[in-house]
Amino acid sequence: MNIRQTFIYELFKKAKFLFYGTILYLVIVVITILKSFQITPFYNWSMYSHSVTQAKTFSITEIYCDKLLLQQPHTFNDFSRLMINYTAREYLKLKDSSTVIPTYNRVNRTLTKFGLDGNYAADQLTIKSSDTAAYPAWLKKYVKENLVHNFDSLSLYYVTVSYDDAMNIKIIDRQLVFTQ
Amino acid sequence: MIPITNQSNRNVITRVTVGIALLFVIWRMAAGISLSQLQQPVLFKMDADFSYWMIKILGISEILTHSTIAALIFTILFLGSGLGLILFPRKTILAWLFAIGYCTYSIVINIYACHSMHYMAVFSIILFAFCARKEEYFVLTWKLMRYYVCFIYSNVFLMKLINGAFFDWDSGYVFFQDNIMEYFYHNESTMMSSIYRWFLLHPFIVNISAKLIYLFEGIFLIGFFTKRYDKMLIIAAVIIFLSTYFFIDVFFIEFLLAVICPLITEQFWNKLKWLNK
Repeated sequence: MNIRQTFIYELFKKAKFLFYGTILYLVIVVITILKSFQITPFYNWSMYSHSVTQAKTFSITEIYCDKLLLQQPHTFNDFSRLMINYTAREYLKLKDSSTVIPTYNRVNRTLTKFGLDGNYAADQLTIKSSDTAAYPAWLKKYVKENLVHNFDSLSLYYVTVSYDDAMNIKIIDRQLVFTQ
Repeated sequence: MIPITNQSNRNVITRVTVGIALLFVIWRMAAGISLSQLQQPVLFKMDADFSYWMIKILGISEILTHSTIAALIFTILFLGSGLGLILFPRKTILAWLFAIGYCTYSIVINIYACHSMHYMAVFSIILFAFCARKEEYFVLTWKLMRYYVCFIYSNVFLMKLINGAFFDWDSGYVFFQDNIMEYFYHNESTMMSSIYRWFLLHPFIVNISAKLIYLFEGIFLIGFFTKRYDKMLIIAAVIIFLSTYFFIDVFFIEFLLAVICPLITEQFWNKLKWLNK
């Protein structure tokens, strides 16, 4: 292979800033991959790359608007479906946990190290218990404004399921998380 | 010196690529996630993504989601710059506005969706190609985007080799079982669920198919050495998209189209010359 005929050489000869920018981009991507995190737009494309063990149970969130199960046609409503699913899962993680304080302290420490106002930043980057408490009302408002317009109460359920031998779904546990 | 390729297609490439990005942003917004439709979200998640941190610390995400006027101004500027760029593809100020707006929008959505979704990731990068003022730089940047697309899939493939999913026989089946559970739970008696059930009862077929899909990702390594097989790469990208749509329950349509744009051949763009005026 003649190096003078490669694209990277062409880039080096004609647009040095693009050449060095590309090298810098790749270096940052490699560092983030090695450290297992991501800084947008240095995307880390390692999802589904790890060896995994088969789960015995799976968890699902289920939302009812009065007695109507909220089921979004997947594809066309992918984003709003994910907006609901991911925030509901995050809420379940946060509502009884004490992860907030360690996060606050870690952010505060990291930023103070760089001479920044750690308290202000940590405050901006940390979920407060009042935020978590406001989630049920937000979810109801979001669903009402964008998806199902007429209903009085919204209920979130946390369902644990598994597959039986014939690959039918078996409900193991179903808990009401909140009704708003 | 290596000759610069045909420069005359810049207008066509800009109009088609920006047109697709704009169309899907409008579609997503119409599905309930324009910034003003988020109803002042309360939860957020950023992990260690410093770009997310910056947007949050500077208060940008807060202003855009909690002030209707700010959200409206942002949306008008963002969508307006996209539309303007289709009409005036050489106006680089519009390209900067649209590309930065696209990145900001995708970051804000990800922050409040509490998940780093990669649907908009490729457009977030390739739209910056249209910011090049000089023709020569545009041609080089657009070529670079083709390599970026090859880099994404090659990276995905190599990470599966390094982290072990490629050598883990059951990985495909485990990912499938986990991701279709929600659809399966809500739609147990549809035809699609019957198909899924059949696959669940035949893990060998799922696992061998998953390995084939991993290899389709690996095919993109060829793209670093020759452009001769770019049509094959497009077909591979479509197959990967369909497999993740049906078996992993994600609909990465704008991702797919953003990947295809830089892989399209000069000959194909030439056929769209009528868009070049």
